[in-house]
Amino acid sequence: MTKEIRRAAAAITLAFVALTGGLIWWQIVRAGALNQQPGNPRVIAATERTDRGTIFAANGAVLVSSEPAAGGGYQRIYHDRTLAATLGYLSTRYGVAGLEDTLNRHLSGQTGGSARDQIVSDLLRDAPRGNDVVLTIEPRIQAAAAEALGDRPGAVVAIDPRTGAVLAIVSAPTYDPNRIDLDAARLLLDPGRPLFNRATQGQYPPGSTFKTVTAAAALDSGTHARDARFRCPSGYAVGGFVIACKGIPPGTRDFDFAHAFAWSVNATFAEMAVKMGAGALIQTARALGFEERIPFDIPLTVSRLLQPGRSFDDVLLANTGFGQGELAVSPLQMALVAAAVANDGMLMQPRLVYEIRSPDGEVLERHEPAAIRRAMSPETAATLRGFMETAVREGFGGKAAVPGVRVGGKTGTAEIGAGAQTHAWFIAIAPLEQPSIAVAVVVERGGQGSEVAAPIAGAVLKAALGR
Amino acid sequence: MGVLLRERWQERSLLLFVAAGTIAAMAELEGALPELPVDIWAAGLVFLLAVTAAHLAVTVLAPRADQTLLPMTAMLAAIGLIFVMRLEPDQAMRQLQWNGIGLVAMVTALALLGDVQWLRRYKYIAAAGGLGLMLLTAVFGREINGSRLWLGIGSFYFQVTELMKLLLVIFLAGYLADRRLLLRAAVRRWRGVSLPALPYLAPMGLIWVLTFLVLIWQRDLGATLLLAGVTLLLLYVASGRTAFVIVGVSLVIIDVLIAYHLFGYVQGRIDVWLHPFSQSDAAGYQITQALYAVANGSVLGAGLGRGMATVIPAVHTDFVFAAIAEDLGMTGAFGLIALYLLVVLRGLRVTLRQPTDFGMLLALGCVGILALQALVIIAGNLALIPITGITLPFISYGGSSLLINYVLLAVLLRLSSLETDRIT
Repeated sequence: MTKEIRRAAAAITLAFVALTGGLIWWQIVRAGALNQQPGNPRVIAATERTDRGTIFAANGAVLVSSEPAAGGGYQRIYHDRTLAATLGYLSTRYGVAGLEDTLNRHLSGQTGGSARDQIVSDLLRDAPRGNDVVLTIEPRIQAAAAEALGDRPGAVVAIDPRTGAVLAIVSAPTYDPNRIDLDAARLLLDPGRPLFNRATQGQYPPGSTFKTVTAAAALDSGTHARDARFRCPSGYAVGGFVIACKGIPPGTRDFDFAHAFAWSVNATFAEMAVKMGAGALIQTARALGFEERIPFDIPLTVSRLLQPGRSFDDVLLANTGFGQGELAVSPLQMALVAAAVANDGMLMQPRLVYEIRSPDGEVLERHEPAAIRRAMSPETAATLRGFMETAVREGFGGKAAVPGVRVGGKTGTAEIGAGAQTHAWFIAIAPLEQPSIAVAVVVERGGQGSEVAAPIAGAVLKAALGR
Repeated sequence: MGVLLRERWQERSLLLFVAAGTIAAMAELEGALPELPVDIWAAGLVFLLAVTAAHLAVTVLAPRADQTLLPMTAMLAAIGLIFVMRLEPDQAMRQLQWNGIGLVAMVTALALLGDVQWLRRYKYIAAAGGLGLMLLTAVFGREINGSRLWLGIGSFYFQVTELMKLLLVIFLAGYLADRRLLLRAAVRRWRGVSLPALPYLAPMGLIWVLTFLVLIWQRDLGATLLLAGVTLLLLYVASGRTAFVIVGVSLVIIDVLIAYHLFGYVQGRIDVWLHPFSQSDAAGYQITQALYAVANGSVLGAGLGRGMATVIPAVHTDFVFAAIAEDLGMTGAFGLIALYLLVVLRGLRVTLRQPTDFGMLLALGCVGILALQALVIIAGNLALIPITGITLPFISYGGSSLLINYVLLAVLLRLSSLETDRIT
């Protein structure tokens, strides 16, 4: 029997060794995946135990902080409601959203610090302290934008055209992220969609603000010179439709490119788009970021020229030329268009995060300005700045004017169907000598861009330029 | 008194090591979970005193018995007590009581066993007792968690399959020791294949049927695997025939396949085993949560009392290993597996040194029961096999199981004091 017992002993030993194989499989090979499964209660508990990093505005103001909670652990405190949709929230019941989600790696302290530090802190079982994040947000501009927009559903985005830094980003209506656990059920059903970030995920027809893109394409492709002159006796007929010559002062026989832009003559831009062809318009629009997944610090919906699967015919091209057609554009995208014009045609990478700092204040990452690409020639950009100045000085953009500052802008009044109130748009840049801010404003069903959106843009420019 | 001072110094020093480890773990547990509703220090102290008393009793009753088995099992029992306090503090006092009862049973058994050989005469009584208990349970048993495993008198409930493990080992050791030579010699040839003589195997076939009935009546997949596994192990060692292993394993597979197709509960367990994450909200919740716990343990563990294994349903009975793997990490889990392997290998050494066939088979049966329990439940916790309700020996919460395991330990200790150097 000895031989059999020795064999059985060997088999039993092997079976015990196989158990250690199971441990290695679950604790090493599969551990990373299991530790991140949404159903794993440790994922949520870890966020409550973590002293997450602080989120600062560009001027050092605290936007989000972690405070010790009554029952142990930490609690997130949100100090700026106007940034709610962008900062997001952290809820053990409803998950994580916005920057709290996309910056989780940094805020929870899972990066930064050497592997050795991680092991030491594991051994000491320290409550982890997350890294701090400094945003590009300027609270003064943010506050002005939020106040000007008020409770009206819509969005305001302000960008520094030279760096791509987002100076203000407002989505209204907003909510109180400090009450997310209590309010989420109601907020999710709210028809005003407060949890939805209109600035980055809203998809609106841009109306006449898109004429900036059409004009850039016409100038860059060479189909129209900056001194081109237009006439509009009876509208522009295309494919059985007639596009009207609205906006031209009575008695005007012909007019230049700048006034076609300032007066926002739909027929002229429709004809312009058809004349240059879809290729030229698509090329410039794509150079400006349309149809492209632009990397950003929070989810940014791709702005579309056309519904998926469609292609341009002359009627659609004509309608797109003056900002209708099938365009679906985010407010941030329109701010990028204005910013590219302001920055001599160079499109800068938009960003919300300026730097990541360790709890000791050491800078772990700094996001230096980066160009995406040249979207139009410097000459075209300069010409468009002139057009935009004309639009504010002589056209419909007057309510965005700031005393003592040369402001450029473009109105938009986007139609969303018969009988529905129009979306009010405005894009603006200032000061024109050397622009330091580009703004896009949309007020959902707000009415006329010149009446409703332009004053909001003006208020943002005033705050930004210290007037 | 002389014997107390003279003998078993190895065991005494190893027990000091166990005491030091227990005290360190209690301090760590108190630091991690200061609001635990149980007096950690009192429980630990009572436990260590009970083990010390048992050690002194063994010194008097069996001075020549193996000196490593008691310290190793005391270490396992200490880990068990600490983890029951940590996972299900309300049951900690009962676990402590059962450890005390178990140690008393161990000492009593040690005193009564004598030269052990007399047990051989009671093999059929053991078999009949096992059958009777099973029938009683099937008829009068109390159903808990869908399995009819419990026999109660008043408020005292006993898990019958635990006692059946012991009775089965006594029967098999006696029966096979009687027929060992016949089993090895008598061969019937059938188309060139040598088969064991059928008449000698009839009682074995009966056991297969009985284990299958355990599966059907008592809905206890784990006990079936355990009883069948031990039968197979002893049959193989006694007969020296690999054919038994092949036939036996095939029979178990057939058993399980039949059960799979006939009974929803077996099917459910196996489906959950194959696809745990696809039903992590429902039937797979328990094993999924256990695997999350194991994964979270990583190499060094979350720290004693610092894991989240309490979210696993029935963690203190069926998933203590997952909790240990989370709190103590791979380091601790490897150590625990090594500790079980050491107990088993030490037990096999006792087996090999037995002067009689009966002693050898009895020791092997006890070791086999402990080894198979540890293997089946740890493998189940790691989703290597379907999960079963088997206890982790000396660690899981459960009185019947603790009691019987201490008796198995007593048998091994007694047999080890009868060792000769017949075989080395």
